Parts: sequence; structure tokens; C-alpha cells
Amino acid sequence: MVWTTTLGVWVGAIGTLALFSLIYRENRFYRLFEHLFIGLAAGFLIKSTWDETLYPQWWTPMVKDGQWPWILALGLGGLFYTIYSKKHSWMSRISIGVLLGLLSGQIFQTTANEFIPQIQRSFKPLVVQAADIPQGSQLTQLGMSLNNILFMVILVCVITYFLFSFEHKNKVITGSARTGRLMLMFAFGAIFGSTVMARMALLIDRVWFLMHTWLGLG
Amino acid sequence: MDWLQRLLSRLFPPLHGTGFYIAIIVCLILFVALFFVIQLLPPKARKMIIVGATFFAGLFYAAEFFLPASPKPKDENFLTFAVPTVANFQNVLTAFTLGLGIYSLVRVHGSNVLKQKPNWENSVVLLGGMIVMAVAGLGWGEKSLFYRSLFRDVLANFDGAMFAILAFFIISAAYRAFRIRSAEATLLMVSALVVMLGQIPIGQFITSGLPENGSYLSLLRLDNISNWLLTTVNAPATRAISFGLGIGALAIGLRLWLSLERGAYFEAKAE
Repeated sequence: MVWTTTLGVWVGAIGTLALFSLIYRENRFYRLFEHLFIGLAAGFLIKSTWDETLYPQWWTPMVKDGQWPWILALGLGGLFYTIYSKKHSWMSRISIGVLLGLLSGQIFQTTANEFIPQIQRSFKPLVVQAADIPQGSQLTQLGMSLNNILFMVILVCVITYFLFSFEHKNKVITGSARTGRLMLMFAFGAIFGSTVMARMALLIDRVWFLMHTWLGLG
Repeated sequence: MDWLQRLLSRLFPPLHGTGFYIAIIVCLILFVALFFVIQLLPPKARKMIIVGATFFAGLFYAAEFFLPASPKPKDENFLTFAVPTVANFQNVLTAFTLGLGIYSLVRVHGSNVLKQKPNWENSVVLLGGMIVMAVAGLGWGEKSLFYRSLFRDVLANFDGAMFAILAFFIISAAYRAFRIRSAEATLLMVSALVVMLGQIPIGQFITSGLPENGSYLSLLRLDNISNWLLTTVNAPATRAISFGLGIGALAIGLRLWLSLERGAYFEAKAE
């Protein structure tokens, strides 16, 4: 290893231990490395914003390809900074408005491209035919039908739980909403389990880094 | 169909050399003039500018989506060609907000250092780290050994460590949540346990005696139950949540686009 890599590994290892020290309790060592982490992340954000957005999408078309109307982005982007002047701060709302407008316009496309296909795919056959079973699936017709029925029941129950347009007085609605709530807990449990496992994988990776890359064990 | 594209390229042709610099300078002068002119407008007119800017910005995507497209295989209308450019414009505009965050960091931590407030050393480390990383990335470039070591050995490690710490906090929070003995908490715990056990070797070992496939007994294997929970129980529930989010986003999008939203930001006077 060259000296920069060795130094990097040592800083990384000491920093990892410092950040883990929070598990015991809050301390100065942790605070110091937490600040270093934020500083490095902010520096990385500056670098990646220029390298991945501003340079290829703004500077290059404007300066190298001669597309001078891109200067408009500088003027509109500059208006964000009027927020620091009491007299001119209202102008920052023009730029914010443009961003919000673009985002809200995109929502139509997101709805059409993401949610409509999802709604279509949610209408699963409740009585599955042999031809509907995907290749390689180990499920029988009955098993797949039961899975699809359960899928539909959970979907309808959870949607009922989120219906706030009217009061849940009807027994069918109350029962359905209650089942939806329980199914949500099941789903949240599954998400929680997956999240914990993902974090554990990161923890194992950190321990591997300390043991293997830093201490050279294993 | 591409008449708009031709019109725009005639109105705003690419310029190089002196013509380019003249166009840039003229635009900047116009910006500065416009800046002072709109400052003279009364509050009502200012609000109209904000509402108009929001509406016209949103109109592009809405029009591109709603206007009929030409028949397949092109499946495009006269605005489709501009979608990548407008998307880039949106990215660039968002990127310009980075300076607000950096300014805020420098102001807060710079003040800590200058006034030597308690723990000002941490602020020095933060500002130093930011400058070193930005200079290493922008100055020496991605291929330099120093930047790569700084990113891979330091930043990526700290990032991993920070998220790994969350494992402990999540488990601690879950322990407190599971102490509430209710049907909901029990279901949450049971499904979390099954999913976790299904993903680790010891969990898979518990039911390893059962056949992997070809028998109904294979349905009782923990890895199969875990997979079934994720695909058949979790998927419809999260899909129902995402439908709710989608409808909510559509409603909020419409309200923002038409400036119907209420609240401190939207109702503030443009003075």
C-alpha cells in the first residue's frame, strides 16, 4: 500500500471506532469524527454536483456547444440567493415556484408511468389456470389462486384502512379496516426485518474492514 | 411535428467566439435590468409573477403529457423533443441550491471558529474536511490516488459506520415497541423475526430438515415463509400505501401547480 492509502485506512479505521463509540455513550471523540464525516460529505456533494450535474448539463452545452440560452439557468438560480436580502427575498420565490411547478407537472407523468401499471398489475386472476403459472414456479394452481386471493384481500383491506373520506361506521368497513391495520403491521414487521438485516450486513462489512483491511487478520 | 424545434434553433442558434460572449453579456445585462424593474412592481404584481412562473413551469410537463401524440412508433408530440432539456434545466436549477446549504454550513461553523465558541475545534475539522474533499475531487480529479483514498477509505467507511450504528438503535427502539403487548405489536414482531431468521444461516438451519421443494412440507421452511411474507403479504400492503401516496402526490401537485396551496410560504406577501 502507498502512504496515502495506508493513511486513509488508518483514518477510516479510527473514525469507524470513534463513530461506534456512540453505542456506549455520547463523547468528544465521536463528535469530532461526526464533524469530519459531515465535512467530507459536504465536500463530496460539491464535487459531485459540479461533476455530475453542472459541468455536463449546464457548462458543457453552454460554453462548449455554444448554447448561450443556458445562461438563463444562472439568472434563475441566482434568484435563490436573494433570500439573504430582506428587500429582495421575495424574488427567491420565483425560482422556488419554477422548481415546484416543474415537479408538480412531472407528477402527471409519474402517475401514468408508475401507478397506472401498478393498478393494472394488481388485478390478479382469482382462479388461476395452468397457463397462468409462470415457468419455473413451484406453486400449484390452487396455491397460486390462494396467494392471489390473499393479495387482493390485503390490498382492499389496507386501502379501506386509508379511506378517510367518510366515517367508518359500517361493520364491513370497520372489519375490513381492522384487518387492513393488522396486515399493515405484518408488512411493517417484514420491512423492519429486512432493514435490520441490511444494517447488520453493513455492520459485518465494518467489522471485516477493521479485522481484515486494517489489522490484516483473516 | 418538429416545427417548434426548428423555430427554436432559428431563434437561438448556437454561437461561438465573440458572438457567444456578446450574447452572454447582453443576457446578463438584461437580467440585472429585469432584477431592478421587477423590484419596482407592487406586491400584487409580484405575486402574479410567482404564480405565473409556477404555472408555466408546470404547464410544460402537463402539456407534453396531455397533448395527443403522433401514432406509433414515434409516439411523440411537438413538445417531447424538449423533455430531456427541461429535465436538465430542472437538475441544474436544483444544483444551484447547493450554495445555500454550503453558505449555511460556512456561516454557522465559521462563526463558531471566529468567536471560539465551545467545541470550535469540531467546526475547524468540518470546514477543513469539506475544503480538502472538494479540492481533492475538483482539483486533482477522480483518478488521483489521494481523492480515491479519501473517498474509499475514509468517507465510504464513515458512511458505512454511521448506517451500521443504526442497527443498534433500530433494535433498541424495537425492543421498546415490542414491550407494548398488543395484537399489532405481536404481529410486527413475529413477521420481523421470521423475515430475519429466513435470511440468516442459523434460521435456515432450523428448518433445513424439511424438503426444499416437491412437498407441502417445504412451505414450512423458514426461508420460504420469509420469502412468502415479503412477496404475498408485504407487497399488497406496501402497494396500497403507495397508491395512497400517489393520489396524495397528484392532489398536492395540482394544488402547487395552480398555486392553490395554503400555508406560511404560499400565503406570504411578496413585499
